Amino acid sequence: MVGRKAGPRGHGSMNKKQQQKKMQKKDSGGRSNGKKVGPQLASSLLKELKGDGDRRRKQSKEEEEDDSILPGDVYEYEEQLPEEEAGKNRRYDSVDQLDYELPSDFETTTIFAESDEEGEEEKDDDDEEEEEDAEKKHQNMLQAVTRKASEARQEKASKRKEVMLSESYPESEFNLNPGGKGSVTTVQGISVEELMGSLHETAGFGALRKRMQQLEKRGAPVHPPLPKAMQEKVERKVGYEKTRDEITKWQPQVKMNREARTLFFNQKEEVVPSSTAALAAKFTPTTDMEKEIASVLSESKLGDVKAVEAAEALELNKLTVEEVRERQQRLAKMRSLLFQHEAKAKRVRNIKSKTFHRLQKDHKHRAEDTDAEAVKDAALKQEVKRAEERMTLKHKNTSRWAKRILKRGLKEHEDGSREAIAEQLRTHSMLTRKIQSVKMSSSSEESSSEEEGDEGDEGLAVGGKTRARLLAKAKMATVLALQGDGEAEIPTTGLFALPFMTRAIERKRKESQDEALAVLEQLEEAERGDAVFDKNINVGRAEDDKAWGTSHSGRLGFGDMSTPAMNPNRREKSRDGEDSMDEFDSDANLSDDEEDKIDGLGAWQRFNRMEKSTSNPLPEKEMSVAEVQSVVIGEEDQQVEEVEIFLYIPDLNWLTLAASTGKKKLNGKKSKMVAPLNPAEINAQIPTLLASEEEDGANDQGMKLLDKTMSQEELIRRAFAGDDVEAEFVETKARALDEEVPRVEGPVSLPGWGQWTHIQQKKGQPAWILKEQESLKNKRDAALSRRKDAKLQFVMISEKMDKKASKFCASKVPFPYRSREVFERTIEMPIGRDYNTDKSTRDMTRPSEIKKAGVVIEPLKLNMSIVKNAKLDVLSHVVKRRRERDSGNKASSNQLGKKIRT
Amino acid sequence: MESEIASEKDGTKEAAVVAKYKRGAKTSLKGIVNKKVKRQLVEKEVLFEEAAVTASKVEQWLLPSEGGYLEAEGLEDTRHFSQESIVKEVDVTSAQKAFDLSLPDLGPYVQDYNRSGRYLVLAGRKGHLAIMDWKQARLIMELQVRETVRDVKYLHNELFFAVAQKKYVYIYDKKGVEIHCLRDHISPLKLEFLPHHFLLASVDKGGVLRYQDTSTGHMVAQHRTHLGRSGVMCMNPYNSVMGLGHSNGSVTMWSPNMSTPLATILCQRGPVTAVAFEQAGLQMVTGGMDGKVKVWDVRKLVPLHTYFAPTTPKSLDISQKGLLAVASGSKIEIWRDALTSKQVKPYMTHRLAKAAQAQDLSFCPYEDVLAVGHSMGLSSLLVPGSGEPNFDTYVANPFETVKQRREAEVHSLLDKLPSELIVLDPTQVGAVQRSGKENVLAKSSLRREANIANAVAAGKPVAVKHKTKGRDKPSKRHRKKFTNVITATRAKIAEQSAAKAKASQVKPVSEDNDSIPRALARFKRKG
Repeated sequence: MVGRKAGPRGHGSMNKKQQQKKMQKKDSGGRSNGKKVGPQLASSLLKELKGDGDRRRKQSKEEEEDDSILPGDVYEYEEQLPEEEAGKNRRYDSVDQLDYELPSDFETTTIFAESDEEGEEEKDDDDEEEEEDAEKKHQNMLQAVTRKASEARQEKASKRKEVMLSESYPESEFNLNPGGKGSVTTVQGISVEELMGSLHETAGFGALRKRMQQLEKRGAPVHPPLPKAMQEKVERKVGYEKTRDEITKWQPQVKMNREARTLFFNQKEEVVPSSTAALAAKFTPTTDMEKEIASVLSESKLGDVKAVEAAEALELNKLTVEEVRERQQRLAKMRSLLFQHEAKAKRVRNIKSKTFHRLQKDHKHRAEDTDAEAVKDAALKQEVKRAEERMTLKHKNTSRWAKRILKRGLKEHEDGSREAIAEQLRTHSMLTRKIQSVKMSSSSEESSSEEEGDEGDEGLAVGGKTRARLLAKAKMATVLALQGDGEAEIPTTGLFALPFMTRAIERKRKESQDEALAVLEQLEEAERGDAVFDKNINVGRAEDDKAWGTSHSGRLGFGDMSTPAMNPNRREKSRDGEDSMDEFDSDANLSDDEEDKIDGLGAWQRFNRMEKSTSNPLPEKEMSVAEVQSVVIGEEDQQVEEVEIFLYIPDLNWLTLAASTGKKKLNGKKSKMVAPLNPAEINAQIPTLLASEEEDGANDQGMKLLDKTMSQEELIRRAFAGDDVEAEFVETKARALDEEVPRVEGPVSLPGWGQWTHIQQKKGQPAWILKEQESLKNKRDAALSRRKDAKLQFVMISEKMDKKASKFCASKVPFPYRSREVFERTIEMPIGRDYNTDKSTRDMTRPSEIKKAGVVIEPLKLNMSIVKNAKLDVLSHVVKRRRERDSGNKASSNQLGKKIRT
Repeated sequence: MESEIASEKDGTKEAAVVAKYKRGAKTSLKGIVNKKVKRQLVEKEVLFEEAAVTASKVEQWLLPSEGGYLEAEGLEDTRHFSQESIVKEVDVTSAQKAFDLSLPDLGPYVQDYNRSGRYLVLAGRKGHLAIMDWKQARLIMELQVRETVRDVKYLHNELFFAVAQKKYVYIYDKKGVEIHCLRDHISPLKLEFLPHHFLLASVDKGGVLRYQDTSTGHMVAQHRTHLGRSGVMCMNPYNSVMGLGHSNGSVTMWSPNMSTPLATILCQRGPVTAVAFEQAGLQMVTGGMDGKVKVWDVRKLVPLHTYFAPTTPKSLDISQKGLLAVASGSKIEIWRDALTSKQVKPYMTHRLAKAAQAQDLSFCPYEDVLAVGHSMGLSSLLVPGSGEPNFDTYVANPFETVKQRREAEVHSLLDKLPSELIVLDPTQVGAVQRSGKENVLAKSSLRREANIANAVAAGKPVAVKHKTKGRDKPSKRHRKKFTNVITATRAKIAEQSAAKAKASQVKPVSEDNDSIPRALARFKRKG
């Protein structure tokens, strides 16, 4: 390349050379120099160009001038910077462009090379040398400016010529010895020793050296600091902890303030109260007497009040050494216990032996057995376990493991797993076994025996009485059940409304009724036996029994059971020993008045007994039918009216049935008598009786009960037959409903639309229209059924919006509350003075802050007592827990000890 | 032992009283997240509890008197006790309270006690008005208006009373001076006064119910009942709702807020002749031409009991202690506990002398006295146990001085309630509004529509940015553009699909499908 250079001649040749240099630069440095270069030509073209150049060189030197004059001979294309170099978009890796100054560098080397190779030529030409000198200078200047380039170049240069090495550092007062050996303190090669060396003879050098030595000794290598991010993180963490602690301190106080009903800012300035001591201190004796007394006091060393007080206080404050010691000991013991316990627990936790843990568990169990509380706890736990077992059947081979083993077959496995399975099953049976409550049975026995003991001499009689009572109760229950059966309705909708279901229900009911009747009969029989028995014993008692009997009206009531039979007072009395059944034993003594007082059951029983004694007994069956009949009558009234049937038994053979209003009979006159009794006749009698009673009653009684069979109602119905108010009402209600829940018109078919063919005509309305109409109707029905008056036939409740009243309502639940119920509860209680006491009103209306004018609200101060209290609360919990644990452990350890000893 | 039982009884009684003052059960604090609110609620409950307990204690201390009833011995029955025998047995002052005013010329009479029960105003049909301090048998004022008088009513205190005369309602003062003529009330039949709202209500021959504010004079409301002439009206003291009885057997309940009745109940078969409300507003009693007296639960609007009157009940009244008085013809019956449970016989009966026909009944507040206005004058009967034995001087003071009366007047005016507060359920005032289900649905649908509109509006003008090579696909841009719109319509689509699914579920399977081969099924004629 270099060799191609033609010998430059004269001024023109110099130009040529420079041009060539440029060309070389291009070749050697590639496209890195940022100079404008032409496009890459095809090699053939290049050859031609070269050839052309050669030829020209060969032809003549004169022509060269022309060349220089016409450089545009060759087309030079100005290309833009390549993308890699322009550094746009950072799409290419950046490459250190070390050869930034390469052209100049290269120039120098090539110059040397050229001078080597073409020494003669240089010598020939003085002008050229001069030029090269100038260029050198220029290069030096560049060097000085851009050190980096020179560094890079230096490496290259040093390989070839030591002489040409240039310093990497500019020589200055800070760069004294760039090649010196480095030490710790050197900055670019200067050591402290070197610096010290020059001070060798100066004063104070020894001290300085000592100091240096110390520094060197101490100066262990310092770790590099953490990255900043890490440092900040650590700082933040610590800072957070600090702040958290700082703020947590305030928490209890702030909580207290937040939760306080009222905050008071009305404290006055504290006025120091003058105490007697303060007054005494100021006192100076003036009168003679005072002086005398003062002198006496001072003599007896009682004058100085403070001294006396201090002495007393000291005396009071004194703690004996023993006390202090004891306290310290206690505390120390506590502490050591806590520590020991912790240590022990830790050790035990770390033990991995299963046997050990099992043993320990056993000990614990044993310890629990002795302690009553622990026993209770254990029982509770056991109960929970049992319940769990019953629910989960955890031990009944339900686990995956057990299933797998069973599936594979037990025989194939080693004994271990079989044992485990057996163990599981055992556990299961243990946990699910029924518990025989021994305690309960024994206690009941005791109580029963006690009762017997209490009653003592009354013995059998009372036993019989309780029996009678029981029987009475049982009978009442059966009667009620009978009644209830009749009342229960068969459902009209749902699964139970299906015909076979209703049939089944009917059958069931009938069966149960039969059963109940049978039971009733049995009971009666049993009672009859009792009554005969009682009669012999309790005749004398009848007198006493009248006393409480006065409050009873003596009728057998059905339906509304507000009759005395259900009276709790009465039950109490009977428990006291005065049994209602006794009443009926004194037949002979009973006057008509007293008969009144016999309650329903009594009458019933009495009837039965009489029946037995009379010569004209009523068959039991028939009576029960009569009974049922009356019950049925009672039930027939769907309304609230009740029919009350009195069973008056004045004489032996006569049974009177009368309506409730027939009170006149009480005065000795019996209005109707029916005899002999048989069910058919009773049936026939009842309505007529009732009717006649009504007519009687209407005259003298005024307002009275409605009866089902009353003809008066019928009369009224007839009287108001003309205006059918009910139908009218239903109509108006329907109209009102139409207004409030309007009927929406669904789609209707257009006339002529879809009616073309006979098929279409036959089909009628299209399905979609029908569907739409159906759905609209359903919607309306749903809306109607949601109304409050949906189930009340003769009631209309307007559900129109009351706009005027709605302005007094909250449109939604106000802020701190979330649910309507909670909010409404807060306003449910009246707070006015009319409804509350003065204090409650004031309490309920007190504002959340009370501030007095002029009082400065100071920032919150940390109240240490609150903080302490809060801490104590927490601590007390912890200590309590620990103590509990300790005590448990102690017990167990004691047990261990015992065991070992034994 | 006895003392123990007694203390036990006291305990249960006390508990009942406390429960009365507690006014509802605690609400559970479950689900309240806000600790502060939770704490506040706990505090509130504590306050409520305290207030209830102290109030019950105060009741125990300050309201010690207990009413008593007639007790019968042996064969006696209280309903056979005549007024003469009762008067014979009671003390002198009580005996003075039973009297008969024989005014045979200008009857039949109606009457009204003032709120404390000290004064009595009576009005004869033929224009006779009189005010009495009846305990002292002192006539305060007497007046002849020479016009038909149908009803009379005291206003907020004994100084003023309103009279329903032939054409209009007039207001007179204590001295008998006519103060106002309320010409808006035309031919009134019955009057009522709402003391807490200062409203005078009248119902007229045309069946128009009018409310007039007596403190400002404004006509508050005029409601046409459209049910014809109605001379039966009574206020429910619990919620100040007016109950009107009509000739078609229905009772309507009115508030000045609504032009339609709040509730309509078909009570009787025949025309309703009398209505009365219990003090606590739990029960209503209606009497009809059909001779029935019915007790209703006012809150549920269901009948409780039915009694039968010998003849048409003309007037009904319920005392402070819950005794029910029924006047039919010349017979007066008083029933005890007849509202809560079904009774078989009346507590007391009385027959008016000379076959006088009873017109009006009113129990005297805080006294065991029942006034009966009838065709022959007025009778005052002793009914033991009818009045509240303890009176609260802040509510009604029978021994009021002039100064106290003035102060009370000012207070009551300050505490006057707006007429808008008259609603069927007064506990709803201040509570969260319960709008009907339809309202809620309508609101929610409106909200949904608004949301959709917003979303669509938001979805439209979104300027989509051009992004780098791989992320600027047209499909993506389109999707992005319609995200909001799709979100908005999604709800609608989901709804539709749900409806469709529901419809498809219900679709019945036709039975005869099996008979046709499946391939031919589509040719089958539908429907």
